[in-house]
Amino acid sequence: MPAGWWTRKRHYFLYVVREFTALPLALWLLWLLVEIKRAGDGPARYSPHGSTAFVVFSVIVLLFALYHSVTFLSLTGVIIRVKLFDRPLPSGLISLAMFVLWAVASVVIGFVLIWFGR
Amino acid sequence: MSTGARQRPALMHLYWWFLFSQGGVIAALLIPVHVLIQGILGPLGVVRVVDRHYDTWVQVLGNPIVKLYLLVLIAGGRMAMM
Repeated sequence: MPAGWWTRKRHYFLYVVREFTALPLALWLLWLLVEIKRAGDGPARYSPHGSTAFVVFSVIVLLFALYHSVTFLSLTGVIIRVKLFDRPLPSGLISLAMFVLWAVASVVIGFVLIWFGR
Repeated sequence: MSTGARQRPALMHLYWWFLFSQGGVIAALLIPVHVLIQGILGPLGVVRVVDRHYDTWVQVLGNPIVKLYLLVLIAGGRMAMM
């Protein structure tokens, strides 16, 4: 198979981009680990990430993260089979439940991150 | 009647695929809000975020539930890469 097979069709390209999303997400989590580590170095040396480059990096990572979330949660309707009274639940309903869960989790985490800030 | 070789369930497949898929779920549900708030809105000063100051950040990191949560978040995000 030629190395450029994934550039031939838009569908293939989007699939490979989707597989690639894990990398920027993992890189961003490394930044989070660094910030946790910095908290252990004491108040005098603490400085949170805040450069323009970091914000630009985060914007790019957010685009990949949203692409990962939307494609992954849409797929859950196909993967997860739940039977209720011997009848399988419609896949759209399962996907919808996952999107609601995503919204609830985001609101709760966002609330904690902002509420305890100053 | 010949019984032949009985097929055994591939338990290791179950284990690794479970870790992989859970990593995907955790990454999908939890990461975007962290990137949005801690990576964009906090540094830009749009909202007050817990990690902008040492005292608030250390106070939150000291909470055992937050520690457990961060373990799940970061380990989960890593598992999605496997």
